[in-house]
Amino acid sequence: MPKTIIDVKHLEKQYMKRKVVRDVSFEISEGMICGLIGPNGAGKTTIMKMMGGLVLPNGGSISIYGGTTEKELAKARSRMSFMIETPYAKENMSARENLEKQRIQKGIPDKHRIDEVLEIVGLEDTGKKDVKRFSLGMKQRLGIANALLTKPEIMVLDEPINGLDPEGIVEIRELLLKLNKQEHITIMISSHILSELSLLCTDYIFIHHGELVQSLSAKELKRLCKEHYHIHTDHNALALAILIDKLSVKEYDVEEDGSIRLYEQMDNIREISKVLYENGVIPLELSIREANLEQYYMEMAGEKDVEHGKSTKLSD
Amino acid sequence: MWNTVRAQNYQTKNDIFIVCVLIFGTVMAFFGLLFNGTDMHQLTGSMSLLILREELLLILVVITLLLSTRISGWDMEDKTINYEVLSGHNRGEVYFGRVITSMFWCITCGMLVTLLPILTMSMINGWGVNMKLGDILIRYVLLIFPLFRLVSEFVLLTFILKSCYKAMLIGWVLFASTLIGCMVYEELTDRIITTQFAYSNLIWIMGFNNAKLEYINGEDVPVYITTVSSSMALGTILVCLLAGMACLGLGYVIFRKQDMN
Repeated sequence: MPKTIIDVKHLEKQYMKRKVVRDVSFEISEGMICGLIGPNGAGKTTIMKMMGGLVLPNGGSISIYGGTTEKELAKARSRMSFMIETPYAKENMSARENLEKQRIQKGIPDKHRIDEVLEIVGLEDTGKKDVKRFSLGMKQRLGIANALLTKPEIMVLDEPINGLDPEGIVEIRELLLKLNKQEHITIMISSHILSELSLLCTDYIFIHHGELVQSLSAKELKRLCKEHYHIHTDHNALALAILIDKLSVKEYDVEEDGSIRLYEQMDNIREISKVLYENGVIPLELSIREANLEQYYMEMAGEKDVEHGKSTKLSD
Repeated sequence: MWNTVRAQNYQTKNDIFIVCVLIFGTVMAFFGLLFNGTDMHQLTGSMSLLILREELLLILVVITLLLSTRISGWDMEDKTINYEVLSGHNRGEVYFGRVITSMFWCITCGMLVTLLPILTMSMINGWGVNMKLGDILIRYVLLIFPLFRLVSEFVLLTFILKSCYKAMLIGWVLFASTLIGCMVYEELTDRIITTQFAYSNLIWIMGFNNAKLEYINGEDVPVYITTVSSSMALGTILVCLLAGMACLGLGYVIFRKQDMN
């Protein structure tokens, strides 16, 4: 059973009268690549800043490697690295000079580590070029290089692939997967590019309007997104009993409203409909559904927006 | 914290702004020496100090203002200060690391820049007879305390404003207002302001206006009374340390509770 290394409980943050993070609780275990998903303004960056100690919570607690006090958390953060918002850098210094300053400040004795991380992110040829002349993609790479400097055990990355070209996105994805598999680095990552997250993450946390909507593993998500029947009748419990008895169904889930998700017999829709009708159950909805991460998220976000009184366009 | 100090030192050494300030300050210090109307061959170290002391004190304050705000506040402009908190340094280490670096650079560089013209003329023409060298050395050591207070005040200002450039501007306005206010007050009341403000303390320490004529080497020479009284020394040390520590403490309390957005 993987060990829990980050434990966030009932985290809250308020600016003036506006709550930007409300009662958020989650756990990050060793070895996870956890995707933090939500629209702009959902509270993802604020949560990461609270984990990093940049922003002080108004309520709740954060525990990292079991540490909860300010001193213990500071010590725990020395085993982590963060890249939050646009990477910070001294614009009139070169990439090497920026990393040298960070190396000194973090107390890393090995000067060659700078060469290593510059090579990893593809900035080894920038020479004395000032950071102010870097493209956004190059600045992102410098931020990742800085995050790798200390050989961290946990990396918290806020939109690390912003501004990267397609090649760069693939490189960073492969790098993060390699770091997770070979160096056993736990990663928490937020991104708007859901297709990339779906190739990377082992777990997901969905944030909307400052609230945690759902947290689930990639396996669970795959299962939920897998092609299935969505069956809603006038008597769902009886419908399920009939399907088990007459068609010997085994792979199914029951949703919160009682609707049935049936993952098998995908070519047998006529038989399902007939069995239900013959046993006195009227199908009100019988449809085939399948979703990827993006579609799953859009549907969930749409429901949440309706709850909050906002209209939203759902993807097809 | 010492890693923060080392990193700040590295950054300061590579900061072209700091280099320009120090070069400009040195040039201005020598400028006053070259264009004061006195024959350079007769300009001893003590005479140079008499001529330049007000200008040197002004340069000292400006260097302190620019260096302390730059060192403590530049990282807030581009948010690179955030990395220090993110990498596990607590707020105290981040804050006092900058305070120590500011103190070191302001006091050593400021004193060096203002001492250079005096040292240069002393090496060329000797110290001279206008002032006792020992007394001046003691006064220079005493200068460290109002400088400590001044750096503390500017660092507090920087952490309140979260911007080195705003702190430079507001710091200059506050200093100029204090200077003018003190001059007007002294003019109106015939009282001397001493340790009430850091700059007035600096002027008080370097304010040797009383002189007597002595017959030296065949001519009458004004010899200034430069003895440091114990009340001057004690008052300076106590007030500056207390005021400085109060500013630093307040700055830390403010920074500790701030969100670093």
